Amino acid sequence: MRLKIDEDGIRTMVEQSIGKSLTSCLQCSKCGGGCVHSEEFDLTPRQVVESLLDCQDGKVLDSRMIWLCGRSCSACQAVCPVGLPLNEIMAVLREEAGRRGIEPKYEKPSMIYYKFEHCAKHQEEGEASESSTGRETQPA
Amino acid sequence: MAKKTLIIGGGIAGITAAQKIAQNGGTALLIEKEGHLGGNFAKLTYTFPVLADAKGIVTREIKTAEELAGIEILPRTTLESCRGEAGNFTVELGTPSGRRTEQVAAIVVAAGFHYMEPTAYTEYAYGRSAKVVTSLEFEKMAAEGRLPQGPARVVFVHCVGSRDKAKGYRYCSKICCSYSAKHAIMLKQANPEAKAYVFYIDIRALGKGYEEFIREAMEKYNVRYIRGRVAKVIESGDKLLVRAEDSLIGNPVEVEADLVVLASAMEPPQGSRALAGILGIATDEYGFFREAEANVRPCHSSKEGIFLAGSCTQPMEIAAAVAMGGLAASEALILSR
Repeated sequence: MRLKIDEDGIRTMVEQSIGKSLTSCLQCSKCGGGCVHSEEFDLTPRQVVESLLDCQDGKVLDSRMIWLCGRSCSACQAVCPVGLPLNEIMAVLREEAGRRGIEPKYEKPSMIYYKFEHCAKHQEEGEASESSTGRETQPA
Repeated sequence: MAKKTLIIGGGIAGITAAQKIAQNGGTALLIEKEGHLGGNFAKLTYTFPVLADAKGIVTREIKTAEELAGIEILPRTTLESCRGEAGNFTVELGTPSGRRTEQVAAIVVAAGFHYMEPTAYTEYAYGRSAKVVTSLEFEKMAAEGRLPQGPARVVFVHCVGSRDKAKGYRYCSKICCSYSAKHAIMLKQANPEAKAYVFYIDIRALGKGYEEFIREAMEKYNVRYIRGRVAKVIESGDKLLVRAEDSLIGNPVEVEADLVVLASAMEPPQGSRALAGILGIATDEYGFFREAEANVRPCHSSKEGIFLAGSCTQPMEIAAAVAMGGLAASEALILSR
């Protein structure tokens, strides 16, 4: 599928919210490799950033990725070599999706992450993420 | 008689500068803070992009310098103070046998570089797992015949400390792409049963024979290159799980490894700012010595009569350090006649 590149999109709004330019992204892909939700990605975090830069707003707002990201988790941000706050970016995108009437693709993780378990979950690396066991998954 | 040139640092750039000065009728005083010459070059087993015997080459160059009449070598010696101006500097040296004062016409700073210790990279389990080592430690393992035996899987991680303004340096260290390929080839030569993986952001191997060298690693030695910066290394029993996103496929991947090698950044030599303070020359934001003009006067420091050579100015490969040593020598000779 050929994409039409554009210059006008929600990128500006995202950049204003986080107070940083998305152009600082190196596309190194470190963010996606360590995420506990990597099993469930449709877009990876760096693809969200790249798509925003080309103003593929629909693709980003319709993605599952923006709903997978836990609101209080900052594992990817902690290892990002340029310090992009990916969790904040995803939060801004969820808000925008809400405004446009796009249904959440995946709601549970953010519920889980409001509780304390999320810390323990991140520490016990290597075990399957709770949401991928099927218990927490809800139909997309 | 020609006036002396002081050369600070006995790595390949300093050795070259000393040789060229002496071979062209000058006199060089070469000081080295360690007990022996060779610097970082002497820690290597092989060179790249031609796999030549590094120890043999550096030993030959040291021998040439030692045999030249116009060179005096002072090991375990540091610069204590520096006064004067181009053509007429008074320097005080701290030698094992006490202080020594010298008159020199020019100074060449060839202080080399330091491999960053990646202690900040806790996500790579460095310092926690003995199976996660730096490239410098890998060189040592290779020299001592301690590379993994049998069907071991080794993962090489690029850009540890480089291109990382959060925890390291913004710059690219330039040589890591090539030396990681060299390490992967060394592994496969020593142990053809081993499997080698290289995780990269993009491959920066510029220069004659470099592209061919990387392709040789892929095609001849079957080293698997995966585009994506490693996100984390997890200890799992006696193995390591390396997690990344393959950014060509666009999917997270995992590799089980027996050894992980971190290509740590080249950083300024330790104490570079203090040395710059003694000499009264400028450093850049990282602590590398700053050149007067990057393109046509790369070896002029911010002070007349003080010249720069080698990797104390920026990350560079051996060939560039040698060329810069020669250039600094010719500049120094102009002042010493």
